[in-house]
Parts: sequence; C-alpha cells; structure tokens
Amino acid sequence: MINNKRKKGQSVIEVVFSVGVLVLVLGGVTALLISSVSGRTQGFDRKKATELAEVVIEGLVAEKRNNSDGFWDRQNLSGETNPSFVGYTYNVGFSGVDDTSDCVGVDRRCFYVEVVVNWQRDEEKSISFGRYFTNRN
Amino acid sequence: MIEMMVVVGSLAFIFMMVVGILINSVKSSRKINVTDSVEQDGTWVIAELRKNLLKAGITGLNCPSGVGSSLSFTSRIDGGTTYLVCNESESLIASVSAESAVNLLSSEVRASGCNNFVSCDLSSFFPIVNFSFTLSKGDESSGVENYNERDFEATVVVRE
Repeated sequence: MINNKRKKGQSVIEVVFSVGVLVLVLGGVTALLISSVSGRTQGFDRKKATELAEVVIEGLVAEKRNNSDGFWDRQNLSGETNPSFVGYTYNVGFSGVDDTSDCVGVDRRCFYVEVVVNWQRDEEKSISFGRYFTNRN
Repeated sequence: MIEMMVVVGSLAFIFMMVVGILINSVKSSRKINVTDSVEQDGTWVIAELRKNLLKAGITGLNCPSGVGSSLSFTSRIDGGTTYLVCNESESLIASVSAESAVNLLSSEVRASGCNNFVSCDLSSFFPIVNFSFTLSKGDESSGVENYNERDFEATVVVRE
C-alpha cells in the first residue's frame, strides 16, 4: 500500500517536471524564431538606410558637378530628413583633406564625406558610408 | 483521475503552444519571403536604372515634362537609344532598346505609382534624374503575411 501511494506521487512530479522541460525547450525555440525574424527585419531597415545614403551621396555628386565652387565651402549637416524615407535621419560630415598626401596638385581640392544614417528599431541604429571627392574627376 | 486531468491538461497546453509557434513561424516565413522578393527586385531595378543612366549622354536625354512614366537617352558608348519605362497596366519596369526589351522585375512582383516614375532637374548643366516607384508582391486580401509593398527612390546624375 505504501509503495503504491509513493508511485502515484512520483508520477505527478514527473509530469510537472517534463512539462517544465518542454515549456523551457519551446520557450527557447520561440526566442530563436523571434530573433531570426528580428534579424531579417533589421536587414531590411539597413537596406533602406543604404538607399537613403545613395540618394544623399548622388545629390552631393550632382552638386559637385553643377556648383563646383559652392561645393567646396559645404558645412556639416546634422539631423536632415528625406520625406521619402520616413523614420530615418542623416548627418553629413565634410572633412577637408586638402594639402595632404592624398590631395596633391595646384588648385586641387579634396573632401572626405561621411554620410551617417540613423533610425530607430527597438534601439538607435546607424550606418555610415564614406566617399572621397576631388575636383579632378 | 487527478493525474489524468493534469496530464491531459498539460498535453493540451503544450499542443496549443506548439501549434501557435508553428502557425506564427509559417506566417513569419511567408512575410519574410514576400518582403525579400520585393526588396531584391527594388535593389536590382535601382542598380540597373543607375547603370543605364551612367552611360547616357547629356544631349540625348529626353525627360518628361514634370513627372512621367518613361524617359529615353542616347548611349555615349554605342549611340543607341534606350527607353526606361514603368508600365502599371502591364506591371513592369523595363529597359527597352532596339536590341531588346528587358523587364527588370521578376514575374510575381508588380510595379505601381508609374505616373511619378521619373522626373528630371534640368536647371543645371549635369541633369539630375529622380526615380520613384512602388513594388508589391502577393494579394492584400489573403492576409498581411502574404503581401508586401514598398516605395523605392533613386537619384542619378548624368555624368557626361
């Protein structure tokens, strides 16, 4: 009799234990799935940020070609937006590298331009692109 | 009896969890596939439009007045004329030349917003061409996980 009662008690504990283990495993699987989807979503955000940077850099190429004098007086930009890229902001940093070993020659002007695109997805994200501009091309 | 109830209840709970995870996993997978197709096509179209226009000559560029659904240019390389066309009724974005007409979209991705496809800023010496289009895939009525739509923008400066 005593042995039978012990067996009954043990089976309930076993069931609770196995359910706990299964819940733990399923919780892990769910976390992995969520993390995988989140990773893909971040990839899509990053792609769109890259497109915005391309638009900004192409705008600078246009400016350099069409307004060459004004282009070399450009100042840094911060917190700029583009209506087609809602949720994204960008900064543009112009670093003059005139008279350095990378920029040698009479009347030669050079800029290193860095475009940093920022967006928010759970936390602040950013991606940056650099491009070298010179008045020789 | 109590043990049976506990076991059946636990199994039912686990079964519901597994089913829920599977359903959500399938839905997420479908949504990602649809989104991926749209993203890939959009990136491809932008790259091809840019590549086409980088060989365009300034003098042969023929832009719509204001915004429009197509533009043509003369290649600096072979002198041939190429049309970049967005056609909403046929649901395509294409590069059309004398040699070939190439739809830049894959079969299941549709183009829309073609009335605003292209606009040109001709106020300066090097024209600035702006492209804007919307791509979508799937059927909106069959659920959000089976449908994706996204706007794409690109700017290209005609170099020479």
